[in-house]
Amino acid sequence: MAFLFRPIVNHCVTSAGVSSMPNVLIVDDDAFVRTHLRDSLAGTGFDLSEAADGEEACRLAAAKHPEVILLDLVMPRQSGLEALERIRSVSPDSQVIVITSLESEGLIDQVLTAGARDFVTKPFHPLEIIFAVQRLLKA
Amino acid sequence: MPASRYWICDSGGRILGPLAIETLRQLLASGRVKDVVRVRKDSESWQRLEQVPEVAAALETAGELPQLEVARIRSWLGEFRSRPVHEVFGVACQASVEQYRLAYFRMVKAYHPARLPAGSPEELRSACVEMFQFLAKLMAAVEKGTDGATPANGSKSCGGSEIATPANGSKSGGGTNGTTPPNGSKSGGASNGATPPNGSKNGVINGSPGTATERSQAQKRFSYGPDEFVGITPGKNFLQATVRVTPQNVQMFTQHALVNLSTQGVFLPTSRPIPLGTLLDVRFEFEDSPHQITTRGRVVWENVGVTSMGAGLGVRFIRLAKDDQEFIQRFVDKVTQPAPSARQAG
Repeated sequence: MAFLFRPIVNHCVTSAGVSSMPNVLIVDDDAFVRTHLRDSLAGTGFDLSEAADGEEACRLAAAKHPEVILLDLVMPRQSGLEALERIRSVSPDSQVIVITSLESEGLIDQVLTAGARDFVTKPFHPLEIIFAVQRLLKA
Repeated sequence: MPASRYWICDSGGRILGPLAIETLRQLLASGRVKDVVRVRKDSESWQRLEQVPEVAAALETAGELPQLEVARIRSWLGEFRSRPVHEVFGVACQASVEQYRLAYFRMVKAYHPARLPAGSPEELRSACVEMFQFLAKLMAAVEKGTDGATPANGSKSCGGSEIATPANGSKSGGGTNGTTPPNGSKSGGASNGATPPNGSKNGVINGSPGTATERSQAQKRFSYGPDEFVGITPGKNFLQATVRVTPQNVQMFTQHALVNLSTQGVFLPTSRPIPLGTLLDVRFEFEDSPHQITTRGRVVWENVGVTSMGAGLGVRFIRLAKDDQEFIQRFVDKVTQPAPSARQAG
């Protein structure tokens, strides 16, 4: 099955007035998932960065203010929900997509109420990730 | 007094929380959270699982779900075997192959056998495999253009796309406690999940565009149009839809075969194109009632107006309180009841 996509990236203008590609921060403690997410977005032109836990994610979010953050919910040291709260305070304009293998009405509601803009359940197909990111960047 | 919040930690030191106890129960019942070794409650320190009895009890009673899940899957499988392909995938009947593919991936992953927790009952595994294979076969037919709909420049056409009944004639029915409709879906209903509450299968949603006269008659019968009552505006975080529910348009809760009140969904007529998967905050206002219901849902169906229903969106609720669902059901029952004289005559 072949998927053909045109680059979906819109150029952003930074505070310095320099045009740059939207930054997407991938946050997951599982290196395999991070690689899968990176592969999913490869070729779409995003500037990708990675964090293996919530603390690193918060540091990167504060430094880079990524347009989109793909955030796992279950992580060591700090849960994804706790990281989400901190990310919202250090980078309020970043749009967060929660990616999780857990599904329950209560959890989804809590995640969205906490400020996430979307959620995708694992296992995911690359299309889902691309479409979810695309949707937020277009919004 | 605020409700307690819980954190759980697995043997790998991975943490989830804070969660309300009800959410934690749901997750434990799903079977996907098993390896809980420590629990933290509010600001207390971490404790062993057995020291937090409410969490330990929730974990112990988590075994009832698989039977319900098997019944639900078999019920949906039976229903899907009698429906047109586009209804199974919850897309417009003229959706592109790409849209079919996306809907397929959304649906099929819920049934991938590898997704089942270790130790899941064989019956559940078997039901998942059956559904997985059914959907995969259907998608393969769509891609090959052998599903009855002819691909034309990448798009599927409507009509004649009934799913063939398997050679064995099986229409594995099963339970009627369908909860999560496979094509989009998070929350549960109480009835069979596919048939409208009124039991009607009057061909309004039959996958066929219908003639202009039929469309006109159907529109007249249901008496609502895309711009009549749905206002969609950008909200703080999500799109906000405001819907005024009247006797004339109450069929939005019952008319659609797959997105209706019994499946925790609603069909919202609107000509505004909104991509599948979009999250919406929906507020329902009811005629002659001060009651309002605010809920959140996801677009799981789009209809570009080629069927008798007209253009609109199928929205599946992520959450709909039981009280609110009952209120809507009462409103539907009230306005769809025949007038007393008609009852007497009948």
